[in-house]
Amino acid sequence: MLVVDRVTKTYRNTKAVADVSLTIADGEALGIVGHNGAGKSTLIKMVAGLVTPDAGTVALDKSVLPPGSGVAAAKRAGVRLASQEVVLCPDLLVLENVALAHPELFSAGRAWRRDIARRFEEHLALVFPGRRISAYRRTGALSLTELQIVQLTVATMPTSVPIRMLILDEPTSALTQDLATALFGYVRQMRREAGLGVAIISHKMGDIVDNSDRIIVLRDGAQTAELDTGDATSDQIVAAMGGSTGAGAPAGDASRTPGPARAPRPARTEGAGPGAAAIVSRAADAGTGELSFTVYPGEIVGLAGLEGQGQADLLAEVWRMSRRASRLSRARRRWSMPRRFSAAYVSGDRQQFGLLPLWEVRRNITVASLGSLLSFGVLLLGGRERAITDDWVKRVQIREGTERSVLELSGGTQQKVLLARGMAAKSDVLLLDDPFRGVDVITKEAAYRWIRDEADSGKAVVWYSSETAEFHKCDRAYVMREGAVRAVLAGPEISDDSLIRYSFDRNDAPDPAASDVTSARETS
Amino acid sequence: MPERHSTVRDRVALTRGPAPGGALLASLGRVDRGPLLAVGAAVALYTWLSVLEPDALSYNGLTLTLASTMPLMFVALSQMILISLGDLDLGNGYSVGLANVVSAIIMPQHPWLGGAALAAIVAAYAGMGALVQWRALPAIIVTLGASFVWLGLSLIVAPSPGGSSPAWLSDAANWNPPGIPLPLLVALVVAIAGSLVVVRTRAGVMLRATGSNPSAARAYGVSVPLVRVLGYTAAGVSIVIGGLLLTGLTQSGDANASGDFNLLSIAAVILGGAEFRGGRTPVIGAVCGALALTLVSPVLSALNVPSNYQTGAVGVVLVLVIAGRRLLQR
Repeated sequence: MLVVDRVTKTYRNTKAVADVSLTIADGEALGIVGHNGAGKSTLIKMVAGLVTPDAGTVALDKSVLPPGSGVAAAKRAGVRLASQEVVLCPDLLVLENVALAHPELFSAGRAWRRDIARRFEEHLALVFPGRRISAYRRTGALSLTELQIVQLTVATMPTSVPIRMLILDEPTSALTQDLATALFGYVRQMRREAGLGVAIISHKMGDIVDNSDRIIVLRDGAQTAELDTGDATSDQIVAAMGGSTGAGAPAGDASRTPGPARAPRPARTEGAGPGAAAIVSRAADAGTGELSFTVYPGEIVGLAGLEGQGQADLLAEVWRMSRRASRLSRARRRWSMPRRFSAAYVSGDRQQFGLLPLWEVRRNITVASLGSLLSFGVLLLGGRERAITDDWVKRVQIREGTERSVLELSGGTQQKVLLARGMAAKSDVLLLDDPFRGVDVITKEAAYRWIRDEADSGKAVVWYSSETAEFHKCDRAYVMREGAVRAVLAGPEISDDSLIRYSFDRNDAPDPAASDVTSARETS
Repeated sequence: MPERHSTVRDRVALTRGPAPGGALLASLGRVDRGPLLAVGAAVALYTWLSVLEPDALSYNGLTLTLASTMPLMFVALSQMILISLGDLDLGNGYSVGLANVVSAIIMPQHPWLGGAALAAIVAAYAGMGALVQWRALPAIIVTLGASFVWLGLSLIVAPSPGGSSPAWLSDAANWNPPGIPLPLLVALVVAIAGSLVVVRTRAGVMLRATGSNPSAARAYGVSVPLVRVLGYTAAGVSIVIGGLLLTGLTQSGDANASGDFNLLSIAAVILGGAEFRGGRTPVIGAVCGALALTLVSPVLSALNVPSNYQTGAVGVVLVLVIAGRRLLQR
């Protein structure tokens, strides 16, 4: 029996998990659901000892795990985690990863390698019958599916330390249907025979509904609902996950900033872009049920869905399509574009993908538009550069001016610099990669207006965000799941409810005319 | 890549076979196919040399030609440990030089003081590991800075080349074992013992895990700081052994004589199949890489290439080999 008692974890200013309590009895399976940033991962990492809670306790079979005692202590107490991320060493053989994960299997003799390899392969055959992965393979040479199989096999492997509690974090994200069935079959058997307690996190509603006894719903780090799986409906679960901003109101209109030209804008729907021609589009894939993706000038397009469902890849592909070399590559087949276009990119990860820390604000802004500062092949970094940057610094309200080092600016102001850089570049498409993560509200509100201005000036904006609220600023939103576009929402159809609904796979075949939300709802 | 998979299976099949010798070889080779290139280069250069100079095939010929491999092998082993952690030692040319002058100048008169000085080199390596780990300094900077310290200390101990080798050291470095030339015996012992440590022991697995993916290693409960400090310590021990062998072979101490070891050791390790990003510990490859690099000069001499061109030729060969490996891996 696992008892989590009022655990809290705060990262800088945001409460990742606030006062969450839960119990999982022996043999019980608990589903944990929630949208981006709801605190699911932080919660289970605290149970597994990977994250130390600021307050609260985790106890297994009535003995409290001392806070900060780490992974090893949780493991000794019988907690096993199959993590969402790949946590294996690529240069090691599979059997060596097993040995590191289960030091108790390690014997000093010369036979430990063969022994661990045999145990691993036998257990793999038990959990995933008919599937073989040699323990002597180099881990880095495995496919994503194989890596997930290895992680799940390692997490469920019996050793001299009994397993009391198994945590499955997105266990089926790379598994085929029959592999997932095999996994859950094994888990069910272990619950029955060994009294194993299980916690499941999954974006596939089917995984949760079919394999749990109870479901808890997290939102913004707090628990909002606890449901018996037996009588919970998917609608109830979705409702508990989202929509704090008035269920019935068409949220798309409510939070849109007022602007004269936009009110009568017709919501453009799939395949029919009256007025403007598409800048670039990716065709639908009938085989996988993937919908098409199109960018029109003058609109803001959101890429919604849970984190890591392919939004970053889609942005990168649009970026590559704007470059000459890759238009000849294989990706071309599904992509089409009537003419060349240019793109500017603004990342939310400013340390890694944005700032040039040794340069002042001015050069950080103009570095993406040096082409327009060329005269007869010579860079003119004098008056014209100053005129451009003075203008932008005024527009995005950087009080510190153009000559300060970017390192002296606050995080929010640094993000303004990056945004100004992206907007100053005379591009057809502005790509935003979750640019306002961790940025204060006032800066955000201003930035939304600038983005709208950019769209009104004829640019297309493609915007990936991990915050559902930001999609209300979009004209259309593509909801992505497992690397593919699964739903297209336009105008008033963009609501917290619909965004969350389509983020989770409930095995509802996406309607080809998915812009028509009502019909999609009926089919589910 | 179906071909790659079948190779792995073949190796597995081999270990299940009855022959224990086959199992040992297979378990040594199973870690990586990277060393094949260095092994091939060493064999090819040796074959070429024996065609040009049949004398090189003899016991004495091999002993003479390959003598300078012995210190290089240990320096390369030390470099391999740092590279496997994702670090790089830019100072080992002069740290091995310091071990050389300490054992040639101080040791003959004051064995205990000499021994303590060598132990201090090992401790200094452990200290560098701690510095890299806890201050998050780039290893390149720390070891580059240390190289000037090594050289300065060496020049204080031995302002000009000189000294002598302790008798036991000369005897050991010039021992003629029956049947097999000493450099080959040392190569064999180092390759097998080193591979066993790296493949079979828990410490070896932890070393590779830490270099391969430090955050995964941490999640497994491996103490990354401890692994790094112990790894640097082992690297320091290997440097000291290399310096002692150098003294035994040259019978003198010279602060400036061993600067080349630095780039040669990096070359041997990379040729041996390691990656600069870490995670790979090809002991056999590093040993064979050292052998191959030692053989380049005799081959070029036999081809009457002037000696001034030889240093450059080693570099060209190395770049070509590594470029070739990149092509093979694709």
